[in-house]
Amino acid sequence: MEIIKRGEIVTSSWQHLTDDQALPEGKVDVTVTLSRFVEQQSALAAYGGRVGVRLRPGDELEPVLSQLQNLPLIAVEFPKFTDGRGYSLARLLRDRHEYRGELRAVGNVLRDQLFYMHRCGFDAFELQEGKSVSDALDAFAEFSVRYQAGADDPRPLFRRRAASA
Amino acid sequence: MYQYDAHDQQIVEERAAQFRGQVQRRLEGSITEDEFKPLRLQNGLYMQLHAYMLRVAIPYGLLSSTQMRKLAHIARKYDKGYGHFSTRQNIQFNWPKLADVPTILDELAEVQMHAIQTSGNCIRNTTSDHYAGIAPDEIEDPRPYCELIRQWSTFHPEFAFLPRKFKIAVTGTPDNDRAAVRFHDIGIRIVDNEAGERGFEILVGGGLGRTPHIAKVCREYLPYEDLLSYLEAILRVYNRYGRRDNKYKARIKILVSELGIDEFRSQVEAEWEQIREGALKLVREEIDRVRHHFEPAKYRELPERDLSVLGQSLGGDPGLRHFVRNNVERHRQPGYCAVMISLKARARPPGDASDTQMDAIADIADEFSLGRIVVTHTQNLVLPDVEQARLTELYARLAEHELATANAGLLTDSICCPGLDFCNLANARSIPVALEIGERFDKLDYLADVGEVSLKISGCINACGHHHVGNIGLLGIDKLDEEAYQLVLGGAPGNDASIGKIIGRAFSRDQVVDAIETVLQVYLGNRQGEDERFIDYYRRVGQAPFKEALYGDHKKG
Amino acid sequence: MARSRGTHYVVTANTTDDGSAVYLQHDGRWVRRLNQAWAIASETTRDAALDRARTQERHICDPYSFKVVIGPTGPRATNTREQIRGQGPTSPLRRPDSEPATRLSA
Repeated sequence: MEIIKRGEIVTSSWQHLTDDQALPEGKVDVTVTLSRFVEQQSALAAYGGRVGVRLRPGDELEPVLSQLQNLPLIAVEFPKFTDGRGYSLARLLRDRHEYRGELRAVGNVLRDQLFYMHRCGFDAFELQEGKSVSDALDAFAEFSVRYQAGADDPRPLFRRRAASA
Repeated sequence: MYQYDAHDQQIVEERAAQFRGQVQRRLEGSITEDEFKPLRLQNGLYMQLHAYMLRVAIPYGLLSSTQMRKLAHIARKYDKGYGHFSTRQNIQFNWPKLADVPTILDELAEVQMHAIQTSGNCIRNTTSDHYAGIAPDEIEDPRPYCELIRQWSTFHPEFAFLPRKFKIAVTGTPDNDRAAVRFHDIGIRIVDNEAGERGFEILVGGGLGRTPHIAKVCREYLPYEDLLSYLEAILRVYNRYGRRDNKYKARIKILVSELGIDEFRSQVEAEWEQIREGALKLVREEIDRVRHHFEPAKYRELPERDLSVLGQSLGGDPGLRHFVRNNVERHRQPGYCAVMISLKARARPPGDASDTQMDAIADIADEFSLGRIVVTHTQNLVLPDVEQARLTELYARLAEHELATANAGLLTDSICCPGLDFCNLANARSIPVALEIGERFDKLDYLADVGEVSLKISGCINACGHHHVGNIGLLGIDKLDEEAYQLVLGGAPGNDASIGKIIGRAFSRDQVVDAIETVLQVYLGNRQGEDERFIDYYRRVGQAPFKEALYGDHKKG
Repeated sequence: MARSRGTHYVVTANTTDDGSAVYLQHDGRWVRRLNQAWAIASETTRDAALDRARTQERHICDPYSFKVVIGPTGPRATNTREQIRGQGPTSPLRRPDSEPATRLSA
């Protein structure tokens, strides 16, 4: 499928496995839920493709912290776009735990959330099915000024103001 | 007052442009109403019974005369010639067309205004004391901190989709809270610690709505430079753990009460420890930059007059005497005073002002009050910097525009939500009840005799009319398809915060104003002298005499 | 939202354009007067009408149905909410030209 990654439209081959879906044959890249990731560590380690973790909004991060820097991808699910817990997960992963791999928003991901998601540290976006990926690219440029620090600027505006005064 | 710099200005202009695009997509059909709803809500645009309603932010209630003229223009050009000032110190327009709203936002941006985050599950307009900056009992002007919070919360990327709306209020007068900080999601009191250092007391989990809560102390003393990091820690805990399964249990007050304040506090403090030394630590330069905008006006050197005798000396006009007694407030600058413009004139919906009145107020503010106006959470307006010697002249000018009603703080100065005349959520009408009360009790001498009492009317359990904290509250309910009203007594929003209690079974529309009259008769007939205010009397005697008078045998049948 | 009593259903929505209350007619058009609305007798027909209304969400918002009685001039709302929604606010508006056309009894 087409996704937005680091500001460009690219094709993604990652498959998001449900808990009762077996690991595919071959070397397909997959994400699994946090519980499966924890419970099936050895099976996943033996798998030929890359394995990422898929977080639900209510998940705690502790179980993945020890392996964070080895993870090629963390997907955060937005079951409903109005559920904002994923934004906090992203900030914790990026700011507190210094996760540097791909951080992807999946689920009910819509154009008008991308600006906020990007600022919280998401760098990849699987839009809700049926939504235009190219239209959504415009969303990143809608605001040129930001008051808060974010993934795109480590300093809040008040510090930048103070520095330029 | 705060003046936008190029950054602030660009944000509101870009927001208007973004919303123009979103409206365009909605009108073209490329997004559904369900997708559009949260976008319009984040711009203060609701759908009500008859039309859209646009809520415009008035940060901490402060307006310049230029901004007031713009609001008058919007009311005239895009609405039906009036605006409604709300209990959140904002203004609402009840009749805009969707296609006009982006243009309205453009016009607002011209005068450094916007509708950002005036609804939706995000951090709303930060409110404050309507006498901020002028009150004699204030220890520090809270508005610079309100402005810092406004900027921190505007488009905060992490907190745009909270479990529920989130309201913050700040007072700089810890001994006389006029901002109802104990009934906000976060209430902030400027205080000094034992060492005499300036900082904040942080209260959390207050609110009205279905389940009223008085806020609890989250932190007794927070150094001023940690304000934003501490707010961020509270919001992060709330965003992650606030309930999302039931919208009626989603406010932070429920999280605080389910966890207990001690557990909630320890989670916040643990989060805060991680971020307190980070980029959110306030820098002196920025505080000074913002505070500079709120420096006291260039006042004239004037002699202070005794306001209590001023009214008597102003000649024979009893209206003016009442006006000086009720609507004029002391000012920290000798020779000046603050004047409350009551938007509770007889036969006018509480909080409404016409376009011509708004224009007149702007002119009067320029002439009498250094061009400033403050919106109060009691749905009135304040002229904050009036020379005491010009009160007679000011009164006459206000009276020309039906703006000199001398009922501030009295029974007919009621707070009232829009109710079922406009609101999609309401169960009963509020405005007609307020109007009937205004008609029944329109004698200033009677109102003066009753004295200080607050009447607050909500058309439904969501409590936009703050009935829980009215000395007398009315709550509209739906009783088998008929409007009915529960009478609530004993609420108060300030330092002596209390939540009112329902007195008994509800009254029909026909009975409710009689019931209020009965309550007043009980009070007037039994108080210990004129100095015992209604709320004092109620606290002394409780519900019993009211119940007896309202529901006793002779009232049956 | 208050229940309403009645013998028939009416499908209603607010317009996307200005948010005014509108009512579905039998031919699929929307009118601003409740008494010109299509009075629907059966729940099946109502559900089909609602489904069809939902396909028109570009022009209208959040369609729903409520119960009405049939008066001499057509469908009539039985609860206060729908009466006010159909007739305008009962409290005075500021500009004479925007007074509601009809008033509820107090």
